[in-house]
Amino acid sequence: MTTLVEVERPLSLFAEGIAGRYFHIRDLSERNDKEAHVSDASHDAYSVYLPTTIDYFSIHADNAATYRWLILQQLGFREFGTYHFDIQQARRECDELREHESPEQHRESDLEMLFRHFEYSVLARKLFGMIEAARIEQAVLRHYPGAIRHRKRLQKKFDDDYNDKSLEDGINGAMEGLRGFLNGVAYAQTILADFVAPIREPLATVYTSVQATIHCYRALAHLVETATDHVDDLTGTDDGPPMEWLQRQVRLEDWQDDLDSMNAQLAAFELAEESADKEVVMGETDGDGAIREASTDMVRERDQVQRRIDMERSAIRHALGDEHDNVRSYLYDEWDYLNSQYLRGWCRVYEEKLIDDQTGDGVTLLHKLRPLAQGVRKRFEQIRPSGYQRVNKVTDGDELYLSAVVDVRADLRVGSSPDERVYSRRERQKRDVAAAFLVDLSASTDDPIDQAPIATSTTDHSDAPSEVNLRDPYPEDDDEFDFDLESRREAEEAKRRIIDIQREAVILMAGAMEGLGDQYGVYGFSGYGHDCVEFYIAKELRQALDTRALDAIAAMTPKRSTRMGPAIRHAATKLEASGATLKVLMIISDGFPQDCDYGPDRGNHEYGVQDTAKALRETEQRGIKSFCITVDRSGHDYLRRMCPEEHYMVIEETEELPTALQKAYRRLTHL
Amino acid sequence: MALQEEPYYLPLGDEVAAFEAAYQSRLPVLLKGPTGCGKTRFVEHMTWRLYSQTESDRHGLKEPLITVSCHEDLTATDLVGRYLLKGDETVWQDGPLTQAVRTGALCYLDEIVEARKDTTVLIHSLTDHRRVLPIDKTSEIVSAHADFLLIISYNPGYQSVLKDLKPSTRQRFVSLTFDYPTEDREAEIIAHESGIDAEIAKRLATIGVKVRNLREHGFEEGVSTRLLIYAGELIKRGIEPRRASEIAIVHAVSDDVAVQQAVSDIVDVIWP
Repeated sequence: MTTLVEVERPLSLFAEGIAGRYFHIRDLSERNDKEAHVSDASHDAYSVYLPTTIDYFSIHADNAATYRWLILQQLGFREFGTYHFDIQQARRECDELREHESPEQHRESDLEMLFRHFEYSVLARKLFGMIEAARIEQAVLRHYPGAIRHRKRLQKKFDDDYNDKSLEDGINGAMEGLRGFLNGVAYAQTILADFVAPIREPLATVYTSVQATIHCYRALAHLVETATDHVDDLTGTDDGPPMEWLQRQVRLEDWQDDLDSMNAQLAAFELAEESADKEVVMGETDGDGAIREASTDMVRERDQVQRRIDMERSAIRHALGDEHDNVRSYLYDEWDYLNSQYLRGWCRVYEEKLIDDQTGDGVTLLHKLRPLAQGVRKRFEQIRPSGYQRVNKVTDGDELYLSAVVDVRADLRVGSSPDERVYSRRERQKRDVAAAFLVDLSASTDDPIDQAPIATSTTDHSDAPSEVNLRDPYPEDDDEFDFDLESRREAEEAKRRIIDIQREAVILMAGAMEGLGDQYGVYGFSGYGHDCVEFYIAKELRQALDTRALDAIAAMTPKRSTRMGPAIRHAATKLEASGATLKVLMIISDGFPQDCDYGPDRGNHEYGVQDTAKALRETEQRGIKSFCITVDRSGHDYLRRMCPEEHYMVIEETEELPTALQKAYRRLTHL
Repeated sequence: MALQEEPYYLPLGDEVAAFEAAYQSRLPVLLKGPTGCGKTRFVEHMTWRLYSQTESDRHGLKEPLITVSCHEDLTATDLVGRYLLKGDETVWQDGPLTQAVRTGALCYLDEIVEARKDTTVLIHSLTDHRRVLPIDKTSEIVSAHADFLLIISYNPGYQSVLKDLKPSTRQRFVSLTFDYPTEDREAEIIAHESGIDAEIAKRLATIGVKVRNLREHGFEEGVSTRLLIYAGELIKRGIEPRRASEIAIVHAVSDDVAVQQAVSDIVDVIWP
């Protein structure tokens, strides 16, 4: 037997390779309550749904290949043009459609428009669905001939199992489906076989399927009227079957592409305008009014497209109900200490962005912390290893090393073999460290703190410079530092929460890290439930500390629960991929791990503590040093059960967090 | 590099005409693009067009193209030259860049951002109106030969942000951007270079496209056209296509077992 969890990662990579974009690989049980079968495999805009297990074959590789075959089939709808169906093109290609007046189109997808051409639209939809699925299968087999043997093996398995006829694929499957659907309509399948044949052709397109659908529909419609008692079922217009919505989703992607190219053109226009302005200043020309006019028109058009995209996206989300679109997800095991076993692939971690657009908040926060940051940065810069060091006696270098040259001469004189290492060269001294700062973004970080705040500038931040020199974000201009107005300070104190201190600590640390030159990432985590652990990315390990990263740190806000185990495992995976010699994970939290289903009883935190402890041990085994810092004064109680004493720190006063974080980091990385 | 025959190159756009125009004006050229997409071959092809085909003096040049693959230990000294010990004396030996500057060859610095920062000083003086190469150690300032041209390449994708090319350097060059060819073009190139038939070449090109979809997973470079050609050559010599792809592609693109598995699975469904 092969479980989906075992093969999830290679399958999601396989799907990404085939489709050219990421798809979540999900368990069909997330969609269907009943026990799922391979024939139930399905997809939506962001996911492919597959059975929990496949046990048709005794060999694991054959079961895994069956999963891949199902993925190819599902992705085939996107790859071979089902969702690029265009109603106008269909009307051009199919005479029968032109016999009807073109229905008026509002926001419906083109496939919905197609079905509206038929009196029994449900019948047309069902026919089209089956015929198109068969066409897709033919196309997949032609395009990926290596899958033929997997498909044959599966078919043989179904054939062997006499009672499993309904699982047949392809054209035979379509015919079977039709037979089931048209139960009682005599001779139906023999009539239809000829109509369906053209979809086998290599050049068959979605319009070939439409043509076949029309022929089948015509042959069947009058039979249906006389032979079935459920004619009413065939005239309804149930809203939102997946195929139509998926087409709308693909259409949305096209619109997004249009929007991107419009934005690119606008940027070009802006450049052209700038240079035109310069020319005017030089008095050589009157400027180019045409450019300005064209760009104004385009701005208007761009805004319209943007609005249309926003509306459509919200409609699609409402229909398909997926709030995790365009993000990647990863499965991680969880340690069930009650049964002393891992729950394989139990947690799904979504990698999410904190912000989409730049807000400028990060720069404001940076300026607010400037007086403190300078000191921190300097301390770290002092301990940074100097840039280059001259190394003597090497085989290759920029200078001859005189002492070695003398030795060579001496060796030659006495007739012995000289040493070839006669050069000296400058070599860079560098630290090979990667650090991940993992910040707890649970709802409790919204709690106010009752200590005095760290000294911050109380100058008016609204006029903070919008441009910051990111190579040196803390210029030495202490003079501007306005030692405070007591009342404003108090007002600010009243609002300060744990999350504010966490954010400040991370920003200060980022400044220090820039001075030090180590690569580092800043992440937040939260979520609700094992299948929705949210891992927020403020700054990736290799990303520069740019305004986007600063804004993302500033956008860290209290969210939901604290499922620490999977977040630690995911951060560890990132650190491992960095390839650095010394890898450090710093976890900043405000309390014990807890989540709605983190253990059988929400009131008992032992399960979460044990899973987190296990995750930390795994991290150590992967060669990563970890350190937990908590502002929860009762932290000793559970932290000592989670990690050795030297690997955690409980901070009595929240305000001490930034200093404690720096100290811990220095200790951990041997500074 | 001496070129006897025309190196095969299938133009994907107007890059040949653009390069020729840049050469006529002696404008330094920057080639951007992923590894193995044909940058080096393009330079060889252009060298052949500009040197071997021409009736001018350039025709006689023994080494019309001097290529240096840059790495993180490559210093200015390695490019300019150094003193060597020879018998009882030290003698000056020109480095590859100096050699090209003196003889009027094309000098191609591959993956320039990998080299140490002191190399950019040399580039600057050679790429503005001065066209000179200062050599500290010999107190010499070498004026570039009229035919000399500097070409550099870099790949903005995979090198770390710390190693990005500085704008002050980048703006001294005209830039030609390369990417992997389209599937059909790539199939044509694979068929030509490896000598396999069109159908097999097409399947290899499809593998290339699909595997490049996984670029983000630890092998930002994707699979190069070069690797696909290698696979084609193995097939041509009788190795079964799946096995040839395994050797040339699957193990070459990533060390991550899951990624290797996925690439292997993609290869598996593409071959009949």
